[in-house]
Amino acid sequence: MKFILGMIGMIGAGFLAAQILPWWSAVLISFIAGAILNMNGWKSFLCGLVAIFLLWGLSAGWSFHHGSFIIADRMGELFGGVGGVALMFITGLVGGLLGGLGSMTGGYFRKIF
Amino acid sequence: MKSILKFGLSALICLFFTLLLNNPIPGTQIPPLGKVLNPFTGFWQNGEQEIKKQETVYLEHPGLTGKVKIIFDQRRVPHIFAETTQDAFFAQGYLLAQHRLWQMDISTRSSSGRLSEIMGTKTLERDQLQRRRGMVFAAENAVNNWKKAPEFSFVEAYTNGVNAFIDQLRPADYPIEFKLLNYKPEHWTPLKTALFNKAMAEMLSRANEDIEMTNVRKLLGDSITADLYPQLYPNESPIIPNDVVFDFTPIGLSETSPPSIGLIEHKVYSKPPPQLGSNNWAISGSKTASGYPILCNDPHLGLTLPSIWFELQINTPTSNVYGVCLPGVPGIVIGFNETSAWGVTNVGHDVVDWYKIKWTDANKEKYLVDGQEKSAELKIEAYEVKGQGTVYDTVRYTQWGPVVHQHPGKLDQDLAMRWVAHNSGGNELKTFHGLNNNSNYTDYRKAITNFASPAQNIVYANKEGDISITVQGQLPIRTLEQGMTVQSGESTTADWRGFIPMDQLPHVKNPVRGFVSSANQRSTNANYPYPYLSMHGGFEAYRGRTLNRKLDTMEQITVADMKALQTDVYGLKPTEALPALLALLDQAELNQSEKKYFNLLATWNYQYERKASGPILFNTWFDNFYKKTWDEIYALAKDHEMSFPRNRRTIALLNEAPNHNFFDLQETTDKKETAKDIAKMTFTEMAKKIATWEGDGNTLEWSNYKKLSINHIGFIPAFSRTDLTVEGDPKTLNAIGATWGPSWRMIVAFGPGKPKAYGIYPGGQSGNPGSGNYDNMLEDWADGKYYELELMDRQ
Repeated sequence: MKFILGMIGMIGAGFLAAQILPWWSAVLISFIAGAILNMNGWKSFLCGLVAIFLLWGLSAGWSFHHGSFIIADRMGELFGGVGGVALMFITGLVGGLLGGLGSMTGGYFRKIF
Repeated sequence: MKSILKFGLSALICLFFTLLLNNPIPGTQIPPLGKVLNPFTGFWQNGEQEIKKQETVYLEHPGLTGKVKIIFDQRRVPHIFAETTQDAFFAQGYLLAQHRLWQMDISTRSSSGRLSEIMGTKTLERDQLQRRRGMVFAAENAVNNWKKAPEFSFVEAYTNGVNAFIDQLRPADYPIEFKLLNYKPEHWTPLKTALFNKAMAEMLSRANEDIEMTNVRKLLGDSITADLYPQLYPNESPIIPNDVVFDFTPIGLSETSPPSIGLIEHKVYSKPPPQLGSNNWAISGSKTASGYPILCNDPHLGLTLPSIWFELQINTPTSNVYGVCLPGVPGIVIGFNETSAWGVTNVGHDVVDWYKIKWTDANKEKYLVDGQEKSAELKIEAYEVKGQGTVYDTVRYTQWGPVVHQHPGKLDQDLAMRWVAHNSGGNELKTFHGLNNNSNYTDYRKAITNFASPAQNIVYANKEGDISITVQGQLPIRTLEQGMTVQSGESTTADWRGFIPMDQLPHVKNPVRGFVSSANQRSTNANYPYPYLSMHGGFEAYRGRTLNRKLDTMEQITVADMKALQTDVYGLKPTEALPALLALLDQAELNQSEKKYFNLLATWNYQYERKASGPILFNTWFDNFYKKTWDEIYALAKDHEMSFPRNRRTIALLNEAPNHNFFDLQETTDKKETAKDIAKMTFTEMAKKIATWEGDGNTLEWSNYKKLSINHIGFIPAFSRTDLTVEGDPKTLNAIGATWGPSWRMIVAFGPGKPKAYGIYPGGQSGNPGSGNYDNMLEDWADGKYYELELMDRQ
């Protein structure tokens, strides 16, 4: 339950933070969330990974659907010939990796005290 | 302890990845991936669907004095309705920034030698060359000139408009290229507008063959040079018709020719392709079906994405004008209003001269002129090179101009560049404002006298029935053949004798033949009192003659005829060369595939059409023939920069002097070849090459052979289009090369009401590669289609 709620919280906070902060707000939010949630290492990592994967992937998907398919295809070509949809997935993974690392670091930070 | 260690390790990895994705990977082309990929500020924010519906917006900003309404039509062409001229230019600046911000940034960076700030050391040499060429010097001189006239306020309003757009951008809104190259847009300035103009001048008027011709003269001698590199040809069809009398007293002419000078060992820096040029013409009502004039223009430029042109209408209470503008320059360059239309082609005159400097000190601070020591002005140039810090170097300005070619260690080999664009007088702002607002022939003439550089053949037509063309620009007065070769900078006798007075520039109004036209050919016949040279070692040879011949015979002309003429692919070059070449072949000696090619060529109608095979066979054959003919010069070119004889001269020799010495091959010492031997030899080579090409599964059709690439300005392949099949040839009216061609086709037909106009350019209004309006006009352009241009009424 904590996992699911934490994840949803991270997505929401991450979305809001991204409106005002630069791209690394995803790391910051997942770090704070990780510290608050206080889960063990792998669980914390997984929670951040899934949350930011969904946040970035779905946001990219929303953009894709609302006119970004042209730029996604061109950028996919630029990144070695992947399609726009694949790029959506890659975007999610990159965000997810950072989210996982942030959340895990936050969790470990909490454990110090 | 263990928990601290776990945290430390985890934090380290997290930080490492965050930093890695926040920065470009050094030594690679990889952009900062976190910034670029994230869906909130990265490339996902740069998507725009193609917008096909009309849309009205109101521009609101404290910098505006009145109401500004903008109607975007279905092709995303903005129609600006403003209450004052200042507001209109503000809106134009705003719109250009909205659609073409990165293009404006990169063009002016390139012009001013500031690319290294964002690209690093790989562009440093190029930047240094731009500064040595005096590009910034030239732009600063232009701005100082503008400041003296009230029209300067137009650039200021335009600048404010660009900056108003930039100031409301969030990082998420930055054009994609800023994100990929990891930098921010900076404010626009009037200097940047001047830098854009100077980039145009650079593209259109910097070419010259002075170094090459110096070597040609030295190595081949004066008489061979005169034979192989003539400036005048028989059957010339100049821009100003031959029946025009030049009725004025020329000034500053003198007979002394410059002394010749030794070999020049400097390498020539790359030049814009010589075929860049354009067509324009205006037809009098006496030759049109409607009885009203028609004006046409298609400037041939390097084709890029985004396109060099942006289409728009500007309507104020005092003017109503439609056409294309340059991204960075206020006003409309080529267009029409309710009463008049105008268009431009490049004037081919050489406006660059090189002077060899004799330094008197090792630091190259003093040089000799007329036996007197003069001080060069030393300008320290700083380059903020990305990843490397500031790099300095010195540019030396002599009385001739900046020293561009440097020979370290030698005191008598440096070359200074004198270029009209460095300190041209005139005021382009006045010209285009005047043209945009003109309502009659007198207005047109008054407006264009302010135009100095790059010189243009400005064609004009109006509703009243006047047609006219002027070879307009600041053109140096020289002695005969002065400036064909590098000159000694040690004597002021090598200086220009001033500039041709504006009222003595070649010009014609309402000629008897019922049309005016230009296609970069010679301006006049030999009766024009001022000598002038081509910047390419010869003026345009084929389009001008083709155009004048066609227009001469046409009557009852309609818009459809004009569309057909702008996209005409008839080749005058093969018409003049192919019969002679074919006559030199002995048909009995040909093998089976050679016979097939011979027959295809013999029956070709000289049209460079998509399905035709003749263009492939002829162009390949002629290129080989040309190379074998001038083998002696290619051999010299291995060690020296050399100019090459023109196609037209080559074809004249083929027709008139098939035993000319130069047809002899250098490699065969025992035999003296003639044009017949060369023709046979190169035909066999061509047949083999094409048979192999066909054997690889290619169909013998021009469109399979000729490809057009329209590259992104930043050469990002994913943002480029390299798959376009087109018709035509560099030498047909529809002049298309591998990377250049008609950058805007416009036809304006006058009538009792508003003019009817048609146009298209190969690109789209948006400069955003993520927009559906980025390249949406390309296919129609390649197919020779046009859109109707609507001069909307004030509403």
